[in-house]
Amino acid sequence: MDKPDGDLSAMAARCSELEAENRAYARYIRDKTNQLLEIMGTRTLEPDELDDRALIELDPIGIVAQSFRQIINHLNRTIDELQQARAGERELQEFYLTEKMKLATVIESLSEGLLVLDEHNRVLSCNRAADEITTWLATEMLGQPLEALFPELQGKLSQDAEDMQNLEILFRTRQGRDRLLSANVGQLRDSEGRRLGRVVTFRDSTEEKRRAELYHRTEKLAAIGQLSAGVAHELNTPLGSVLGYARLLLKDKTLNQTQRVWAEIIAEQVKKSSSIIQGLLRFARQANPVRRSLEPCSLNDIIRQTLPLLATEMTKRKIALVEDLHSLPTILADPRELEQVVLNLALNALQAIGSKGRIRILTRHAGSRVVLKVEDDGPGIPESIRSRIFDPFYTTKPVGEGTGLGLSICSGIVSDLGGAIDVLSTEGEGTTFVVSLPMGENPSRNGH
Amino acid sequence: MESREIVETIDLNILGQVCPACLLVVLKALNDHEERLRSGKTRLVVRTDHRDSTRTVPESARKMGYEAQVRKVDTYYEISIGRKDG
Repeated sequence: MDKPDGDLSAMAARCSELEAENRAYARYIRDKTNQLLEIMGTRTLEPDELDDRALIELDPIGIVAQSFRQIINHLNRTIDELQQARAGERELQEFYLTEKMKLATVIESLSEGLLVLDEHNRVLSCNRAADEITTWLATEMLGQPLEALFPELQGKLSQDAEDMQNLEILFRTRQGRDRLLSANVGQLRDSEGRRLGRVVTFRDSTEEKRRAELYHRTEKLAAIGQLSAGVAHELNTPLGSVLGYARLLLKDKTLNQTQRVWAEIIAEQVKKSSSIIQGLLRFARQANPVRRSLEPCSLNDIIRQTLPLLATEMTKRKIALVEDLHSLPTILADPRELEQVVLNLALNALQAIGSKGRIRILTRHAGSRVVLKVEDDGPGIPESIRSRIFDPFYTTKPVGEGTGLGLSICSGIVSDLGGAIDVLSTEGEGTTFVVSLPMGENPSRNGH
Repeated sequence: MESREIVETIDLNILGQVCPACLLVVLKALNDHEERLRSGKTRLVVRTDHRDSTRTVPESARKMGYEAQVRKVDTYYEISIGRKDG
C-alpha cells in the first residue's frame, strides 16, 4: 500500500505544484494584460471581475495585440496623409512664390510708376518706373508719407475716399523741372473687403499734353487759314480799286497840297493793308499744301540767298550777323517756303533786338535731321507769352505794325515738312529758335 | 439616397459589466468586425451602464482610426462606433 500511497501523495504534490504553476502563469497573463490595459489608458482588471479561466478564454493579449495592429495601421495611414498634405502644401507654396515672382516682374516692367500705400498713405513699395518718373530712389520713397512725394495728390485723396482716375498733378523733380503727371488711385482691399491701403499708378503726361496743344494749334491754324484765304481774296479786289483811284487822284494837278497829302496817306495805308493781305495769303497757302512743290533743297544755299535781303537793315541798325553753317544733307521741301522760314526767323530776331546786337544763324546735321538755329541777344520772350507766340495774329508789336503771322507761318511750314520748331528764351539774355527738319530721301552732301 | 444612410448595426450589449473587461469585449468586437466597420456600411453600437467605459471605449476606438459618439439613453449609455469620414 506504500507504493500507491506514495504515488498518490507524489501525484498530489505534483498536482499542487502544477496548480501553483498555472496560477503563476495566469497571474503572469493577468499582469501583462493589466500592463497592456494601462497602455490603452484604462484601469487594471479587478480580480473579482474575471476569474483566471474566463480571462484566458477571453484571450486579452490577443485582443490587445490585434487592436494595436489597427492602431498602427491607422497611424501609418495618418502619416501618409500628412506627408501628402505636406507635399501638396509645398507645391502650393511654390505656385504662390512663382505667381508672386511673375507679378513682381510685371510690376517692375510697367512703364507706369506704381506705389503701394498702407492705410496711413505711407509708401509700402514702388516700382522702377516710379523711381524714374519721380527721380526719387526707391529707398528714399519707402516709408514716406504720400504727402512728402505728391502733396497735391494727398489733398485730393482726403476729399474723396473712393477710386479716382486721370488725376492731373504737377510734380517738381529733383532737378527743379515741372512735370505733369496723370495718376490713378485704387483702393486695396483684402479678400473680405477690409481696407489695406491704396495703389497709385502714374505716368508723365507732360509730352502728351504738349503734343495735344500742338495738335490744337495746328487745327486752329488750318481753320484760320481757310478763313483768311477767303477774306483776303475778297479784300484784294476792292483794295486794288482804292489804290488805283488814289494814284489817279495823285496825278490830278488841281489838287491842293493838303488834298495831295491825304491821297498819299490813302495810297500808303492801302499798300500796308495789301502787305497784311499778302501775309494772310501766304499763311493760307501753307495751310493748304496742294500748291507746294517739294524738291531736294540745300538749307545752307537758301540761307545764303535770303540773308542779303536784310543786309541793309542790319547795317542801319548796327546788328552783326554771324553765320555758322555746317555741311548738310539735302532736305525735301519747297524752297520758297524754306526761304520764308529763314526770312521770318531772321526778321523776328531783327525786330526783337531793335538796334545794336548780334544774330547768329547756325546749321547742324544731327542724325536723321537737319537743325537750324537762329539766336538773338534781344530782350528774350517772357515765359507767360511763350506758348502763344506761334498762334496766328498774336503779336507784341503795336497795332498796324505786325500781322502776327510770321512765326505762325514758320510753324505751319515746319510741321507740314514733318519737323519741329521750338523756342528757348531767357529774359534779358536773348532767344533761340530751333528748327529741326527730317532729311530728304536721297541724302547727298553739299559743301558750305 | 446616399450609401451612408444604409447602415446596418452590430449591437453589443455589455450592460452590467465593469470597465476593463468592457473595453476588452468592445476591442474584440472591433477586431472581429474590422473589415465591415472600415467599409462604412456597418456601425458597432455598444450599450453600457459603466460610466468609465464612455471615456475609455471612444478613446481607444479613435486611436484605431474610428469615429465614436456617446449618447445617453434612459439608464444606460450608447456608444456608436463607425468609419471616420474623409
